[in-house]
Amino acid sequence: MKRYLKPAIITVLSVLVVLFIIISVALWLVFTPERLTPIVRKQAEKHLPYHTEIGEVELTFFSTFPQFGLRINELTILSPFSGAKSDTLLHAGQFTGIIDFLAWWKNDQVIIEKVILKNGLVNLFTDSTGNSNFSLFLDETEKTEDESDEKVKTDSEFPFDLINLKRADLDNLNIYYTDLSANIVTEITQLTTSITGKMQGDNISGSINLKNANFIFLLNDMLTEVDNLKTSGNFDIEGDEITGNFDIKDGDVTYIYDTMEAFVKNISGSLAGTMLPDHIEGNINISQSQVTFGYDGETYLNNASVIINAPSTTFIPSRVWLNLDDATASVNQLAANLSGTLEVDTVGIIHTNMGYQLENWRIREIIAMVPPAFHEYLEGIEIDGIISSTGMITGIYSDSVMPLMDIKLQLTNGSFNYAEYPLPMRNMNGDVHIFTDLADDAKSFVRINRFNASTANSSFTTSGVINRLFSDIHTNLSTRANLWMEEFNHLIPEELNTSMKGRLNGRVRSNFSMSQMENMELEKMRFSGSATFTEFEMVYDTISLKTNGSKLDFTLPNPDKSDQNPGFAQFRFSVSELFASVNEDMHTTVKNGELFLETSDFRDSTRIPQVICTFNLEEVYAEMDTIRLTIRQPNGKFLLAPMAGNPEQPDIELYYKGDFLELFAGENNIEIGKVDLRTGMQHVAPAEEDFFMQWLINGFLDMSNANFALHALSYPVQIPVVKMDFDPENFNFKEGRMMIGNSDFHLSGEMRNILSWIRGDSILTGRFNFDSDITDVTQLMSLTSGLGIEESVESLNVETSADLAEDGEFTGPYMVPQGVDFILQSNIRKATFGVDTARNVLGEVIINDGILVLQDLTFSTSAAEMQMTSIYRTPRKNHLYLGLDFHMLDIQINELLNLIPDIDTIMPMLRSFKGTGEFHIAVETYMDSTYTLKMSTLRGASSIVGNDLVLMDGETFSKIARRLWFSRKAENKVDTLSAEFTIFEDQVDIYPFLIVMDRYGAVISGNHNLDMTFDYHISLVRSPLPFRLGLDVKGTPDRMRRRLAWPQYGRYYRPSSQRLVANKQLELRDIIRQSLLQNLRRREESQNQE
Amino acid sequence: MKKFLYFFGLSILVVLIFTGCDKDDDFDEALLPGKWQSGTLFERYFANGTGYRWNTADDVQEDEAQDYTWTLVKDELTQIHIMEIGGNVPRYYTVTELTSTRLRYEGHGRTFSFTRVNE
Repeated sequence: MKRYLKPAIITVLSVLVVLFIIISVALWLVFTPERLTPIVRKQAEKHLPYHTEIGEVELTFFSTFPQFGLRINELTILSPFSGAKSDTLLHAGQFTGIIDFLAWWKNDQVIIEKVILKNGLVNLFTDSTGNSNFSLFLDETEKTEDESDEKVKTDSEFPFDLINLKRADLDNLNIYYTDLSANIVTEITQLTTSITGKMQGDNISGSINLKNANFIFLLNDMLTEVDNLKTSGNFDIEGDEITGNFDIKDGDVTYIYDTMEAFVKNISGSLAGTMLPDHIEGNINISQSQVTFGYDGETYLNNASVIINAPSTTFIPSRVWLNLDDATASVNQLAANLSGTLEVDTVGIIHTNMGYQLENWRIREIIAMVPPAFHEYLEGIEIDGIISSTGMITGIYSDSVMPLMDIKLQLTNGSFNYAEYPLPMRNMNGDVHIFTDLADDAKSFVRINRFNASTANSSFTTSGVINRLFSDIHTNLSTRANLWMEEFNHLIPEELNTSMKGRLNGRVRSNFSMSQMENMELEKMRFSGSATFTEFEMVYDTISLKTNGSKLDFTLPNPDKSDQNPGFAQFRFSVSELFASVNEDMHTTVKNGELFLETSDFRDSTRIPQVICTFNLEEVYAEMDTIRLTIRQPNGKFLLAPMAGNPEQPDIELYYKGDFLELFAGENNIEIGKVDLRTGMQHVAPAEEDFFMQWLINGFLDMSNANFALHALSYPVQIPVVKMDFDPENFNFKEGRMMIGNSDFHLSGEMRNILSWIRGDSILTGRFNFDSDITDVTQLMSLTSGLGIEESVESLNVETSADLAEDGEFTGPYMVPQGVDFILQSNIRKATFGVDTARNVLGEVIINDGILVLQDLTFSTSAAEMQMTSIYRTPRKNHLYLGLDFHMLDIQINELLNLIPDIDTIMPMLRSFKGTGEFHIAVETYMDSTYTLKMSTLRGASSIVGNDLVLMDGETFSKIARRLWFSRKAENKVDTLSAEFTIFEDQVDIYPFLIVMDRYGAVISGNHNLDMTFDYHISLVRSPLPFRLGLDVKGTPDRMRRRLAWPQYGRYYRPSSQRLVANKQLELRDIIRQSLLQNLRRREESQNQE
Repeated sequence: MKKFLYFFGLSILVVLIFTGCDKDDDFDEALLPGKWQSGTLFERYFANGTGYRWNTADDVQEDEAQDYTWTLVKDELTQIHIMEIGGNVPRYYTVTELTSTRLRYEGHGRTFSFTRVNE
């Protein structure tokens, strides 16, 4: 083997040397530039349509070893054209081409081993009419194509089996293309790249290594510029299918259109895919870029890091249809994932079916991207958190139609702080579903699956749906809150002077639209919820409210709406303990209560709202100044409604029950055991000043175990039970038992004309049955004295205070109530009047407009059975009228004097008698305020009748008896006594009366003065004496003068009864009636005058 | 019979004698109407036979006075005092002086002296 190796090497080397010599000779001697250049120039002039300048053409071998190459230096094609940048159409500083001629010759293969172009320039220009400086090339091309077409027709085979561009190096190529007809300017400058490629049959493959290039594309006002583009990649063209992949190593992109500016720097990434005539599919990856984006002078992105990764992207140009599959784009680490299709139809309408996903976007980073012009909106706002979102954008996008967006948004660990409202919120988490086409209410909604946030001490959670987004936004939300109220104090305007403490825990469900809210159409809105107050305190100005364990439930509208129940709202307030105060002077405490309220719309100013309020409380306590009120177990129902026919005025019904009520007001004390009150109140006359004139009140009152100790009442009032119906005009006492002072009585009956009386239209009338075991008349008189007397209220009060003694005893005078007409059918087992006592008092007590009438009053005292009719009238306090018709049957005369001491003054002779008699008196007089008789007004008539009276040891009669030789001594009986007398002022006129004793009968007459002077005449009309005898008795009881006188009355004179009192009784009955009628006439006249 | 006629005639004579000796004091009732005062006691007479009486010592004013009717026959002044409750209390007086300025009467053991009050 070694034996053949040496000769072989020598042979090869020899061949190589010979070849080298041959090539050298050929290069330097045969194919010199001087020889080749003219040839090429000649061929250029022959085949190129423009003037061509070729500096030098040379054949290269060693620089292109091992292939031969053709190098053309300073190649210039000139095409002068008006408007063009220059007359140079094409220029190449150096063009070197290496072709494998052997393959061409042997195999019909074009193998371009290498093409080198240095310092090239292409200057293309088309004017506004469409003519270009390279149009002749087009003509040649068309001619060539025509020839080719003809050739194709004859020989459709491509002449070469293979075209292989093994390497093309372009170094500093500049291409300018200006098309004024299309308003396009395109520049590719400093293009330096290496290209390899192979075409075999219909298959083309190659690679590009773009080391540097600058692109400018200007269309109208739109500028697109790519600088320093560095990329490399491979491509394959197989038939209509083009595949390739490119790595973008570097580049800067500028896009300017109108007021929009976009700058992309340092872009890098890769593109890979397949392109068919109407189908592009591939991967796009931009692993790095800094994007600056501005619009209308505002910078929206500033050197933002943008990364895009679209691994499976499909684009159909004819449909402008784009499909992204799991594409990812991020801006400053804010990444979005896109999957779906986008299509632009022939009329420019975009059809989308695109899904996206945002993951963990930091709100702070989003905020950082907000342009400075919008910073003022964020001034003072600190917001952070992480937002994630997934969604689909489906449908058509055009000028009038927006695609359907199905967006699910999650917020995690958000925080919010606004300097104006220093209530930092944190732990904000949300899950929101947005579904909208930005146009159609029917399709659009925002569903808040969950949103919760908290402050330092409070938290809330809300969920619900918001729809009708583009017309009248409608919300249906449910919110739960646990609020520490002290945190919200700084949210309350200072002018409200309000502060809160404590905790409020509750939930609210709301369902309303924005228009309803703006117009406050609460009747159309739905709210419901509940709130629990724990150690809650609120202070508003001077009003303080505290509660613990209270709960408020509310619902708008009322779910229990019916024909009877108002439909606007329902509230239920349960209170464990509630304390309210005003000015530290008024305190109210409510314990363990529940209030249930239903109401109609209270904002309607044209009508009173309908309100139904049911309440049930354990205890209410209120205190103000010296007033203290305690109510236990108050419960009932309060109904408020517009009045029929006058809906602006209230119609109130109240059903109230309470177990205990106690009121202290200064020296007044009211205590009520049980109350059952059912009342209706109608505000019929709001213009009236007086409360009772404004309201029509009716109802029923059942009250028991009530005690009244009022300063205005001299005596405590106890009401064990009272049941009464009442209406504006009438009180109907069905049952009433009262204990006033020492009095204990049952009262039943009716009081009428109450409202008319208040109006002044009528007198107040009452018809009562007054049934009493014991009645202290003095006390009752003190209680009723002066009622209804308006003319001198001031003076009356002063005088009334003087009417009470230091021990509180009523000292009078009794002023008869005016403006009333009361009749009491009295049945009093025991009546006391001062020290006097009467039993079994029966009869009518009439109080009629300042007149007190005791009609046919019968009663019994220790002295006798009595019957009395009297009139008591009080025109003024120091001028009191008393008319009296008094009948005492079977009275012990000595008891009579004890009972009525004044009788002794009027008829002192009675003190001398003892026994049973009858006493009748009709008298009238005026008295002063101390009940002292005004003697000048005293008028009257009286009679006394007695049988078998015992003559006492009266001095006068003892002396008379001695003088008349009575046979009997002391206690002699008077067989009959029948005396009548009249009273005029201070003088009593004794009408002649017969007194029979033993064998004597005497007629006595005379007068008697109340100063105890007298002047009597005694005529002896029967005696054993044979003559008649008379005696005048004058003087005073102490200094009595007696003188025998001629008898004024004859033996057979018998005084006839004057029947003074009997007549008077009849007259009294008549005068009572006349007095009452007179009062009635007086009122009628008064009203007529008014 | 003669004796009876004697005594009967004597009686008539006595009556006539005493009648003839009766004091003939006629007072002009026209002088009575007006207001009369006796200390704190006042009386007012009207020409129609009515009047009233009051005493300011008892804090009674004229409009609160009590009514009466009156007649004056010769010297017999009769006052029928009318009670408000009904009924009358008659009072009989003998006028002893009645001039345009003075009124005096007596009765029921009392004497009243009034002077006219000009208004």
